[in-house]
Amino acid sequence: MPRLSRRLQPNLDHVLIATFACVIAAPLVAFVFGVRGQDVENRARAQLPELSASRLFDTEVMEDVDTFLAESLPFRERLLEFDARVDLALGDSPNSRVVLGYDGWLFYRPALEQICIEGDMALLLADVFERSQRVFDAVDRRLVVVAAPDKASIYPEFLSDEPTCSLATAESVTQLDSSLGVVATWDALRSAKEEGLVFFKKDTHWNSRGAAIAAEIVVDRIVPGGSARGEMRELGQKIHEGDLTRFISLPSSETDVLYGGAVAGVVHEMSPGRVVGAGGIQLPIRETLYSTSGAPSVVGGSTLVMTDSFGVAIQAPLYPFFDDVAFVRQRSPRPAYMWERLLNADLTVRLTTQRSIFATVLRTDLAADYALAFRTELPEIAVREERSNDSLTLHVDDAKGDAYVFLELDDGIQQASVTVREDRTALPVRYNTFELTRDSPAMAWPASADGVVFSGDVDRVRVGAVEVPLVAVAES
Amino acid sequence: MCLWVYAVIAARLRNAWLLLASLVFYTWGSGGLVLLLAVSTVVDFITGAVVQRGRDQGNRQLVKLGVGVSVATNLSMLGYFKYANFFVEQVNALSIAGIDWTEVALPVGISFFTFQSMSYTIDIARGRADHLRNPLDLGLYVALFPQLVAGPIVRFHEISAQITHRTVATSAIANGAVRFAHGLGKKVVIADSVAPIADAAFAADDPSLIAAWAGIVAYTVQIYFDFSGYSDMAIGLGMMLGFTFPENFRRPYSAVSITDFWRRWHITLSNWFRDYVYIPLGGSRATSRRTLVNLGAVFLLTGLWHGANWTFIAWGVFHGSLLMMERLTGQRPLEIERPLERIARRIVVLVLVMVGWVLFRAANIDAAMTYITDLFTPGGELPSTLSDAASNRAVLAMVIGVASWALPADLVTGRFLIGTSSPRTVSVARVATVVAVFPLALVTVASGSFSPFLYFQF
Repeated sequence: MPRLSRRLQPNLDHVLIATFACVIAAPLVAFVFGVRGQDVENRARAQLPELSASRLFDTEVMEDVDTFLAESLPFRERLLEFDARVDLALGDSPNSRVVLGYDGWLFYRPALEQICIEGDMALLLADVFERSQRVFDAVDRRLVVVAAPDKASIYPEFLSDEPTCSLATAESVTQLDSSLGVVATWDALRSAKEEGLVFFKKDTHWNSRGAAIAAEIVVDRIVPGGSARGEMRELGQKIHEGDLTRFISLPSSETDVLYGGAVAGVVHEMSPGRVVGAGGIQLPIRETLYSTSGAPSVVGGSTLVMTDSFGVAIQAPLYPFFDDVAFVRQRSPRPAYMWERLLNADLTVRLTTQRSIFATVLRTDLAADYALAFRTELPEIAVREERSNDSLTLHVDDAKGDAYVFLELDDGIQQASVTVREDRTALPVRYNTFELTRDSPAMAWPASADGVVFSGDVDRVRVGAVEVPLVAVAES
Repeated sequence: MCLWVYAVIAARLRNAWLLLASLVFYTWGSGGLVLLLAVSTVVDFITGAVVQRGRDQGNRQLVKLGVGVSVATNLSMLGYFKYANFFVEQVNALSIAGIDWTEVALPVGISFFTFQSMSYTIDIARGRADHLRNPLDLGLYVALFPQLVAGPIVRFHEISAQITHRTVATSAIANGAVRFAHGLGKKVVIADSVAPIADAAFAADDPSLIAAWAGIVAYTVQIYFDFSGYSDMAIGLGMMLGFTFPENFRRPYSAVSITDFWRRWHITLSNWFRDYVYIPLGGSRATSRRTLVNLGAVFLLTGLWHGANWTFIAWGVFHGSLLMMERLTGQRPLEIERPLERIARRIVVLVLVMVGWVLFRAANIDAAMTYITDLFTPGGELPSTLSDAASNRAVLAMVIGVASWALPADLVTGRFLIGTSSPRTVSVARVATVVAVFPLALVTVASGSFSPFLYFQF
């Protein structure tokens, strides 16, 4: 084998040293000159902790400095992108929470691994929705629950493994539709996808077209034939960066054709989000209010639309059909500031994403949350306490309807953690823990014949119970 | 930055700068426990002086006193910080006495720097080196950051001359850069990639036979590439600073006997125990029975050195037993000429080593025994976590790791890359290591801190 000439060896050594030094020094030099890695993780980057002589030997401080340096590393987003491309070249997903589908489609793994809502759990889901309707009937208001599908249940053909749980949950919820006022959107979206995308390829959400189709269904459920009194118009196009692409460090965008609703002769005014307070605490919440000053729209009265991120795209198609509507980015009715909104609304439209149904409807018992919100308007009933060690059992002995017990922070108490024993055998959990704070000072739970068992900070709360009459659920 | 400053400052200031950098490095990870380094250094500087004087005066009592104090101090520190929690846990478990105990934090690298520190006085006592006049030089020897936390264990006589007199040639810096990059690649690209497979298999309740073997093969790859990668990085950094550290690994999975394995695996630890424990106990020169006892004792201590857990002790006893059996049967070759026999022996040794790694990796003895049973019992299930962990990248890393076992028994890739006679192939490999492997390794390191949220967190 030929030897490297003596003339070339020193040059090669210099090349190696220079390369090594550049690779090491480039980020450092860039850092000194103020270059920082870009925010690519949808969260605030770690900050440099306070450094002082007294903290010199504190290893936690040094760990925080390490984290700061790692996240501020110049060109970090390029390194992440390169690493992601290596993974893709090897056929791997760069992020374990993102599943690579066919044809460049991306799916969110937690949505694929959601709990299957079928069988007994589906019956339980029906019970929760039925009790929720009874709460609203008892306070003379209306509830419409809109189920937004997971992408996998609309586009399973782009996955190598069939998303059986996603499809099973979709089927269960669709079957709830006609009897309980739950607006299921699967059938409509599956039909519409033949003519164009209803979801983004690389994002977890429906696109504007999908949201517009869902909006029409919602309006028609509230006012039969209501959507025909308006129309959906193309408003232009927008470049949309897929949330899943950021997850895999390869940001990319798709074009979204924007749709907006319109009802002839109806003009809306919009008020942007405001800061609200509960118990003196200022909270930033995402809220947009629309109101008409002239001709009425399709749905009268005041409407509260509670959404998660799927509500972003549905706002423009939906609001023109309402006289007075507030879109609030809030999934749970439990924070205290939501109680006022629920009380002030004639109609509540609750948009629930498929993958969050278990957590936000079943596990925390949505009906109980609504009963808590409306408890000032529901008849109180006596509750019997049974205390032992650090547990508290609440009994409601004379209920004739749906009874709900609740715990609320005592005066002067800022925080408490309470756990309720889960007696619904259909659910794969044994306990639910609620963190009560001044923003969210109370929780409620359906009463049971054997009593509801709480543990934790039960000495920091006061108790109560309300009852909802058992009447037939009116068709929503 | 340390390297940059080291390169430009005056030679007489280099030791001080390195010592400062090493102390900062240690403080960064261990906080106030850096004082232990100081204590060890101060004690050994004083005892080293005592030993030197005793040696110069022919006063064996003084020599023994110095060595005794040094060993007692270092072993006491090691015993307290590393083993006190374990000891108390065992006593309390036996309900002999209910000891009310606050757990002691384990200082990083204590097993390494106490052993290095003891070798200082011992080597002076044996006349293999002389006492250092400047305590900062001793501090540097004890705390030198490239090998402080994970070795190689550098005995004092191996480096004594370099502490006070060393030069840094361009070729050494280049070689060091290549070696460092090579080590980082082994650690980050290979070891860290296969780790999830091992973790998933060992965490499974009832892994199938295939899953169990996949897990232990992954761990066998992981532990070698991780540990030898660290050694390569330390050796490479040492080269860039003008030091020549001893090799720590020499293709251990090519061993044809357990005896051969221990001349290839963690060589510096083996040498330390051989020179400072085994030989003083009589080594192989004692009676056969005594030799076996010495061997058993050394490997009991070797296991204990690795950690305060019965699994490490069991691992040490396992290897000690195998070595004793090889000695008793005379079956402890270091080389085999016949290819088929060589392959067969390598396979047998590898399987035995893997069984040992189960003891090393498992959380406790029960888990280890269960896992070993799973290795040889059909049934169980393929855990979904293992399927998730076996990404293409992980599998590729494992294939590369396993393929490396087939390389020639004396081909140490790290040394191959820094060969002074450089055929073009080696030069290409050197360039590829620095230009491709090194950046890829840094990319992998950077991605380790990636923790995105789907929706903005505020």
